[in-house]
Amino acid sequence: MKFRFVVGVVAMAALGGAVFAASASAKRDVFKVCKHGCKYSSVQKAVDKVKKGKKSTVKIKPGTYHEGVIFSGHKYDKLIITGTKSPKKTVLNGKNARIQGSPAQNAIDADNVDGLKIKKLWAKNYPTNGFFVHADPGDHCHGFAMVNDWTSFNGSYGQFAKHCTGGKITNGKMWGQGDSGIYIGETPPQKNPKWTDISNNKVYENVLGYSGTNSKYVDIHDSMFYNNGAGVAPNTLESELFQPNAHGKIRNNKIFWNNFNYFLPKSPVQTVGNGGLGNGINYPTGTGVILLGSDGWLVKDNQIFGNFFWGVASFSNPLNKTGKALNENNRIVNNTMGRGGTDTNRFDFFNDGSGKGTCFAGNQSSTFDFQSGNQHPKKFSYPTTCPAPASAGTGGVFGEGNLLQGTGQVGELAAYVASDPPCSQADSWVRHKHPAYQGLTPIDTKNFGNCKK
Amino acid sequence: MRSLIRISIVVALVALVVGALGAVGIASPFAKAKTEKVKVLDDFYKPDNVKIKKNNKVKWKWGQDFNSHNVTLKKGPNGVKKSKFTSQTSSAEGFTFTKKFKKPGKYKFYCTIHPDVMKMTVKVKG
Repeated sequence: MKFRFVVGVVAMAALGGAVFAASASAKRDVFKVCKHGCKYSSVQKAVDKVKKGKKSTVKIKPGTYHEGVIFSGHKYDKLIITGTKSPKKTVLNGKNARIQGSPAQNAIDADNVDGLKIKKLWAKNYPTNGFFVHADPGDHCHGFAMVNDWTSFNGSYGQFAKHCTGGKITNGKMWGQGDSGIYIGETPPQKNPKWTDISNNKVYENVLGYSGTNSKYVDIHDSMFYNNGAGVAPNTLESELFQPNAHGKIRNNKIFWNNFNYFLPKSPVQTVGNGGLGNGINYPTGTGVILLGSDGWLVKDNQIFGNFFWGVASFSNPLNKTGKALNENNRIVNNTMGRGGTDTNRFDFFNDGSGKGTCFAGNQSSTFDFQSGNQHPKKFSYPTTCPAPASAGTGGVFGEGNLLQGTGQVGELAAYVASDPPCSQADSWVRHKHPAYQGLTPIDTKNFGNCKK
Repeated sequence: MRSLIRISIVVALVALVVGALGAVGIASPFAKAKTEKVKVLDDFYKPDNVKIKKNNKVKWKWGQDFNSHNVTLKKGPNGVKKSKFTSQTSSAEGFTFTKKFKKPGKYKFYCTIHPDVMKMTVKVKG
């Protein structure tokens, strides 16, 4: 009796599940794309058939598609664009790709779309971005997902979300980008924030691994950032909305060997624009984590090693006229630095001593970059307890030392980021041979030519 | 020989008509549209105020920039579709976007990536 009852329940559950699955899939319009034999021979043609109010899936069969896909508006909410196999098999290639007679700038450009998912695709060789999801001022792009995608050798960013809330970029590979592999920017402030999940990615050989201008509520974890110019670099710029970048986490990542001197003449990666932040200032290469004008970031439980300049660098940007690019309330805690002394960073930590509240506690093996010419003792710039004592930090955008005289923390920072030519930043690196790690090749062992001075 | 004379007459007549249209201020269908050039830079358009005649063009050209930019119509004359006057987002030096303005009025453009600082106007006279 009991047996029959159980069988009945199991059968009903199975039937119910099947019906549910069928009804769930039936709710979606499916558009199949392939080079030959499908109704649609291009992704754009399939996307153009999406109807408002219908959930749609564009399934792309393996092949190389030379096109740029562009769409705008909430008619496309909850659209899924997916390869059917590994991203290695389904490629959007920017070479000779055109949109309305012009070169296609992005593999997928989605504006004002909620719940967009992009899966199992590889975008490469686009002049601007691989996958680009964004919203106009006053509109939104909630809850995007880029899962198991690859991006390589795109002019600016690999996977780029701007003015969105929530969302995720996971299980991706990003390499060779002229700006950063991953970018989250201009996150609108939220009372009950939806966090953006950046996890399980391999990000390497980009100018920057992660960049995020005025990003917020970003959780970067369980990823590898290596062989980039700099590994992870949230930043604040006045040119974009919603300053500053704030309330982020960088945790449980492996951040190493970020010694890519992309300014050398034979670099395989060309930087976007003139490669800098303007006024002859460039990002500090040879650095694992850069917190530029960052407020309230937690850098925790990471393994950070083999970066030839700094492991983690935190500083303000006094050139930002609004004063909002302020280094404050950042907690750098419980990180393992320098791989037990076998693969050290030149200095594990740099702090310019500006702002308030930035602290360094519980890190395994800490070396602090502390220059002469400072008015205050080391503990002023490097409090080793969190929260930081109120006595530490200048409270303003100018840190320790004298910018004009080139002394102290700010003097060193200014001299390094304004190195002329930029490739000569590497003259300040402390190089060494890296012990083997996961079968990877350190980028500093490759020959990209000599720095012409 | 006769056909050559006919062709010459037709060409002369066309030239006369075109000349006459120009003389009374009517744009000739054969007249080449003028193109105003605008540079797209970090983070501004140069110039940011352009005046053109109806049926002339504006060509935006991207400079050597660090940031990505676009040209997006925020507001235009009634009946003008925003999507027809919106470029791709690009950071590529040398990328261009050209539009012909058939309807007179005021067109306000901005970059959705840098909305606070990148704005411009195109005024089209009838």
